[in-house]
Amino acid sequence: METKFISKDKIKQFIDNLEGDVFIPQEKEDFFSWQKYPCNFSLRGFRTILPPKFFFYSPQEVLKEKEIVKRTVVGIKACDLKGVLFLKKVFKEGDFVDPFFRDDILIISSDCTELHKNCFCSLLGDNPYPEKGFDLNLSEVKDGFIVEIGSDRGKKLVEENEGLFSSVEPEGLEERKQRRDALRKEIKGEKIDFDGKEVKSEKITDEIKKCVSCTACTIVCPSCFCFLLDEKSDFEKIRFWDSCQYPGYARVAGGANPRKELDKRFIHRVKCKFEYSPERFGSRGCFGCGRCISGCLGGINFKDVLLRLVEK
Amino acid sequence: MPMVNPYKPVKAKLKKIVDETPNIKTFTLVLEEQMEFKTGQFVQFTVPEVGEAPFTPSSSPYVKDQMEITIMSAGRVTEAIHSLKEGDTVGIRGPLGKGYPLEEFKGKEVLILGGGVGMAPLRSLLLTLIAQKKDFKRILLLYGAKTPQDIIYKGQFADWRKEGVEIHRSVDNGDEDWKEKVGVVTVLLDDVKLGKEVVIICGPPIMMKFGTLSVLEMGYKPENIYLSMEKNMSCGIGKCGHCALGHYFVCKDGPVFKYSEIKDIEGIWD
Repeated sequence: METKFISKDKIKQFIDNLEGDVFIPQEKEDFFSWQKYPCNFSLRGFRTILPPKFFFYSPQEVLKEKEIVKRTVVGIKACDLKGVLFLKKVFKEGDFVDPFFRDDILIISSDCTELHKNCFCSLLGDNPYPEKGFDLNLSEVKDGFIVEIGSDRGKKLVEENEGLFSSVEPEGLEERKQRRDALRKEIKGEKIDFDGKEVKSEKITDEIKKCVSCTACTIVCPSCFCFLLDEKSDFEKIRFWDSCQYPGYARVAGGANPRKELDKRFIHRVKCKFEYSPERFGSRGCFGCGRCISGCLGGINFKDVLLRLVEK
Repeated sequence: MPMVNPYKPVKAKLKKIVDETPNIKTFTLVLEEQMEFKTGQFVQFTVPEVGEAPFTPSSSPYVKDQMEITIMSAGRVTEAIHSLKEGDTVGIRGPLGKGYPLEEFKGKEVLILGGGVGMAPLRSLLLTLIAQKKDFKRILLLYGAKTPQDIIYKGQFADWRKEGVEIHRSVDNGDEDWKEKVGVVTVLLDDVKLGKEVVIICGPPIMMKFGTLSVLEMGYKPENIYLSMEKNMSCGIGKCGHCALGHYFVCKDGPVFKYSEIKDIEGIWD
């Protein structure tokens, strides 16, 4: 893919020039959170505390045609970009297309420059830098960013801001490679091979017991997509994010419920991510962001859960 | 280009409501826009400000100007549906899912095993089979209900018999007027000599389970047993996740499955 260079002092100018609403990470004490630009921002660090799925798929929304404002999300990290691409498959592919999932949003992703303690993308064979699916990707190097162009829209954006970009020197690409390799090495642990098919819940009984069905893991997951429909007047619908971890999630009228028990719901989520999603959508549904670990009220470490499930 | 909104129902007027049993009614609807469906496909029935619930139409897909849906009062939405009056406006979204694979039944002996309100989608199937009866070697219906009062479509069995359908019925608890079989529906399997070609089962979960186990024991092949799975279908288009059954979404991959497709999935009868 074509690359350009933008210096640190010009990146703000570039973001200023973006049309519509722009959302970008802001560095807090020990985390990053999404903010509406203009604001202080950071393209460094690791994924934000909440996933960017909020921008693409609203947590609560009336399902009717409405005006939409042009939107750009800057600073999406690799795991979250994979999450967005996964959601696009769910909502935009198949016999029916969901017209409310926003696939019009401009995506300017960026490389991770450090790791969060719960990150485990490389355990799944993924890298902490975006490789596809972005319009532009920004990789921090000394004095600026290598800008990789990933789409026609990205290319157009660079052309429109021509004066801000320059060509990339070979040393720049070499520096990007070195930075990427160095970060990847920081992630401990070998790649695991897990297809979710032979899940033995006995191996993780003690972990499952800690679950309090709070559903935080599904809310903060960049790829969890389940929702609930409710009826307004005049045949309009409203939808809310829902969670397979609620006891009544799969219950039908009359009371039958295939996943009444906690362990069945827990295993269902693991299998949804690693077994069912590849079969349904051609993609695994976990990208190692580790937010489910950070968000778990019961203190379940999902990375350890995976490691234990693959133990012989 | 106008937005195609798969969540928006078509408005429908309730033309007629028939009491089938103390807790089951059949609703005849006239839709504002005609909706063609294949027998076995389902629709979402919308009650404004209350909710939606999935049902398979019980009428023949050959009838285009109206649709019949038979509904048991079993929960929040169905209770609201039961309180509707003739002339009320509701919403219908669909058709959704895949219908019965009629092509796979052609030239064969077709056994239909129904329990309780599970007869609703089977009525649509039966009417479709009757309309094409030359294509099938034999059509049998074994139907069971709790009591004689709980039998739905009471006046229609005679018509189906006239069309050449072999019908056997049972009730769990009979009364002095009941001259047919007493016992769960599977007892009827002992009364008929079967070629064991294809069987279609629909009924409450426990009946689906024991019906399936019984026909398996008789020698029906898992790939020739067709089950109408009832799961929590909400969006109906394979997006919301509620009706997940293993890697399937019952709404889009079903609701009719061959037993061979789902037999290894945990919780199919729950």
